[in-house]
Amino acid sequence: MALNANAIFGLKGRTEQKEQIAKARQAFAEENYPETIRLMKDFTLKDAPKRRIKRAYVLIADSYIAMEEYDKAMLTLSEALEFYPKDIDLRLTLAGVYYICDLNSRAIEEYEQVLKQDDDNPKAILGLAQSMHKEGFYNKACEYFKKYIELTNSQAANVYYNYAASNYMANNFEPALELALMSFEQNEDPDTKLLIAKIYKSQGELEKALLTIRDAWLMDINREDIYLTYALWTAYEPLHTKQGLEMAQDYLKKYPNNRLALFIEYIAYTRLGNEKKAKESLRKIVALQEKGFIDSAAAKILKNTNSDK
Amino acid sequence: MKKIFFCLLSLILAVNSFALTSKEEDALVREFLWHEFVLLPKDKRPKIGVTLSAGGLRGFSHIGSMEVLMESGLPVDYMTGTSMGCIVGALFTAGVSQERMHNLASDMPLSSLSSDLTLVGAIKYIFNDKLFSSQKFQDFIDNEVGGVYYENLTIPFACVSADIKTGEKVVFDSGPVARGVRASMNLPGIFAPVEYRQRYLVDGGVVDYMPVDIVREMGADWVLAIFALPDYSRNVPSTIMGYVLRTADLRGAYLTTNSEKDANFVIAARVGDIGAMDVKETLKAVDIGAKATIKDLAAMQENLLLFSIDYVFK
Repeated sequence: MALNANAIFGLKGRTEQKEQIAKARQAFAEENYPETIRLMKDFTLKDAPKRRIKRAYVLIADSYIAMEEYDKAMLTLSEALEFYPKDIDLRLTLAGVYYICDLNSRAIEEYEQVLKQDDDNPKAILGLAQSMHKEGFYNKACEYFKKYIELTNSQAANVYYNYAASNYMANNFEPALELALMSFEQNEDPDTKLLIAKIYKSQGELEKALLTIRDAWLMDINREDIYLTYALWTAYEPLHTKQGLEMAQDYLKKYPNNRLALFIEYIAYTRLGNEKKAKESLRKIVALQEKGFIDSAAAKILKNTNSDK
Repeated sequence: MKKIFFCLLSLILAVNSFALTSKEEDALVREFLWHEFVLLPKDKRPKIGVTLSAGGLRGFSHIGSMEVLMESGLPVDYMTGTSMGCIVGALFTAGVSQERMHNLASDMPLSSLSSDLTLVGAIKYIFNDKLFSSQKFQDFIDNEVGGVYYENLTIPFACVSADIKTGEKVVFDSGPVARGVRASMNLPGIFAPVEYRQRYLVDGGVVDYMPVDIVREMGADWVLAIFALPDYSRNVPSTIMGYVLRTADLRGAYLTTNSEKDANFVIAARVGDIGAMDVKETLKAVDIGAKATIKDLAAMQENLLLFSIDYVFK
């Protein structure tokens, strides 16, 4: 009789568990993440079947990720991996969270761990490529991107863009250009255009670089980073200096204390031989009393020009 | 799970649009000026020297450091090294490929250092006070660098050894590269001194662990010193050789304090408690060197650019 009761209660328990998971999933679908976490938190402590506990961990971790509470997501996933050390999905998610939090070495460790179990896992290979790039290991990143593309025949513009960027950083300009152009063919986006411009510049094709960066900026005229890069490049080149100066001054009308625009103005005035105005730009930067590289450079140039006299 | 994975992936792959922060403005200028700087002809910029410290097999970290520096485009006009720094410097200036250097780091057996590293050799070492010969290592290096002379290296290079008789620093910058390399890494108390021109040469780390002074004498205006920085605190040596190596390390650390002050920029690869003769950890050392250099790369570039700022705008 007792056995029957247990069996009945066990069955009832399992039904409750299923219902609780369904409720949590519903809450997650409705983006009610705190409720998802509340429903699943004590579930992990229950005597539920392993697969359901895993689902609970996944839902908790996913909720934390959705709420951008990455520390908690890491803890949840690490705890889950203690129970399921061979679970590839959990490990990939943990690696992804590490990557987002700039814990690239840890992300690399997790991705490498996945590859020990499944040496052709495309998600791990792509994750490694991205993490290696972020860590500054550009040649290694290229190797993984290549492997990923070979394995998946991926033609995703983002993958090609990142592969191109790794090649660019590793000074492999020809493949970088080819990949960036392929990426641009699929997705005409200003970042890819900017990368193409940078590659042209590195290859010494200055006019092409200037035309391309102009196009990149025209694709999104709100992109201040592209605008200022364009201004910097033009100000430095004797044939285009005046244009660079105008661009910097236009920007300064809007943001009179922008150090970068002031530095571009300094470069342009130096190129145009207007030493007085160039010094004025530097003095304005120094007066801002910030402590970055631009400020140190401005102070150093000012000091050197004063000591020359 | 899949949905979240693709959310993560899209975050990872996202190409961001943003207005620039101060740091990004600095990075933009640094990247631009660095690009212009590395394109300057040799005679239109300061001469750059790189010096690599001693450090036993820990010094394999220099391979990782040099790899990152070359990827960054840093022009190198002069190089010096002591002991392990000398080995890596010699391989680098002789044009040995990064791939080959990685292979050496992963596969180089201790037996390539000496033909005496055998049971008989060990017995002689312990009972007869007979030090190991490092001739085999000279042959090994000679083979790796193709018998090249200092005079024919792609980048002028010098390495340091010490005369155990007089305590003088002996600089090798001419003749066969392998001879100087052998003298520079000839650990006293382990390898027999190299007899050369009435001198008895031992590891240069005894007198100049990180030869910043020599690279300056060669003509470098700006010097980057790369130091394989050990951590002594984690363990106490348990063997005679361990004590010999630790003593050399401690003395090296003392000597390095002055060298660091004379360098314009120091990259310290924290190789932790990897042993000076720890063959199993050499690849880890390469990785540590690369990571340390990547971490300091932007600061190093800024230091050099500030030093050279007038050249960039000439």
